[in-house]
Amino acid sequence: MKDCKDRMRAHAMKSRLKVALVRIAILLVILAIWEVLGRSSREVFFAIGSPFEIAREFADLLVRGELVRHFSVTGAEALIGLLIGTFVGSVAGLLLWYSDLVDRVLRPFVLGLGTLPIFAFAPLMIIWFGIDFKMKVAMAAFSTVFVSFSQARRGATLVSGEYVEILKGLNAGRSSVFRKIVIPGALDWVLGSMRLNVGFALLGAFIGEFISADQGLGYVILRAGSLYNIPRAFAASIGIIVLALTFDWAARLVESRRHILVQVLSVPRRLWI
Amino acid sequence: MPEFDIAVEGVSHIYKSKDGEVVALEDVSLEIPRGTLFSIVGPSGCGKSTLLRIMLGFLRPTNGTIHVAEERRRQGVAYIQQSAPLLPWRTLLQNASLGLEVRWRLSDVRVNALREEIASFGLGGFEDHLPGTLSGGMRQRVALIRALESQPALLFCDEPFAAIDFVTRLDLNTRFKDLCRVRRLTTVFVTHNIEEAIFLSDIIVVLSPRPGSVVKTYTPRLSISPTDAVESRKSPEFGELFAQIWNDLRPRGGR
Repeated sequence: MKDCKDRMRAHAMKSRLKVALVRIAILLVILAIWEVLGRSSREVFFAIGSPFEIAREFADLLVRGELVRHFSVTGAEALIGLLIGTFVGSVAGLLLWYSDLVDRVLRPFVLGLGTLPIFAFAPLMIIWFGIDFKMKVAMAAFSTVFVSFSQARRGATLVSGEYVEILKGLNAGRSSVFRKIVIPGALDWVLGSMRLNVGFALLGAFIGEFISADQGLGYVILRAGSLYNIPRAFAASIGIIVLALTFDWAARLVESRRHILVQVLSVPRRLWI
Repeated sequence: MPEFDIAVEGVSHIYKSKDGEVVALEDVSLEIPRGTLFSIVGPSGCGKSTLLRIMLGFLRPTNGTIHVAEERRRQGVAYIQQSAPLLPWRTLLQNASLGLEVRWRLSDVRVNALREEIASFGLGGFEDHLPGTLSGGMRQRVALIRALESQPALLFCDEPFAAIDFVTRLDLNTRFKDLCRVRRLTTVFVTHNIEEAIFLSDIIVVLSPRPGSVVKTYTPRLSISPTDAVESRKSPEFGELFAQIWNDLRPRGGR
């Protein structure tokens, strides 16, 4: 039995290793083609740079401490916006469970606001929040709030009626049902929306930096682009990819610990395990 | 003159759907005295569960009225569903404690009592397990503990022992009857198991096949060990009553 398990584990390790190796191989092939193309002529190099040159720019930004600075600015904007947007959207979406009437009344408004491209708000954002850090956070929050709102609302409406009846059968009030059934029951939807929002929050912060900024990865890319420094733009893009992967990893970590969240949110402390 | 905790008067219920109407209940009237164990027996689909859900206030009857003593309702209500659903994100203990929680009665003393209760139902050691790892019979016992430990005055049960094996079921029947009697619960018990109804009940109402209406009412008086699910079966009344109810339930016409 133990032998069998060991063998299964070894097999899983092996297949994971295989996947990783293939990934690396694909990446190397793409980079090699890119490098060859980039060196083929000045014109092509001007348009697409080359991996080697991008690496040099990346190292340069890193050594001068620029990368870390811009990286953390964009990261902070997106993260704060993500947390605000997800929290506000989720709470509002869950609360809609209380009133079917309000839910029905609000539906077209929410749909309308949710489908509006965030970029359309840009001029207003400057008027409301200025051109600093706050504005980017607001952009990130606005990009995420409707996603969480609709996901949380959906999760709340899909909570099993059977579970609700457990509490109704105990003559529990609506607030008990909300806390003990709706919140934990819809939590997967809320956390799912948070993961979806990683991309939207970064996009929001990024657009904010495009509108007006003197720091952040968006600013670096915009500057590098306007100076025709393609390798630098690519180098900063790598920073954004790293940021997105880090956020996604963190969101997944939270998702995998959701049982702790459920305990904290809906079970009395006396009964925690 | 006994006091009635629940009075059902001329209740009919019709389910409407795209495919037409289904009459589930037709002109059902019954009165449930305080502190009695009241069984509703009938064939599958006769509207037993519908009647229970109407008493619970989950459904509004199409016709007729229903009265539930308000002070008893305020003292506490509990409902054991047929499927014995447990919240999948809560452990066994946390599921069992729901009744105490919603009534703000959770204390260390009560939690300890709850743990003892869980152990006495043969579930000791599983307190921190999630429902996904429990068997159907175990889940049903948790639902039973959840309902009883919320200290209700009115208890509504929909086939609470259906998923439990026969031997355990007899044992639980004995305990259940004892608890209901000691705590003076008014219990409405839906079952299609005639023997279970005979042993447990003070009053048995037999419903006809759909649309359900009251066929007969029985008040079992068992002369031998009425508090023991096994021994009481030796009472001569047990067999007689079984034959009578069986006769009421037997499909008529055609055969």
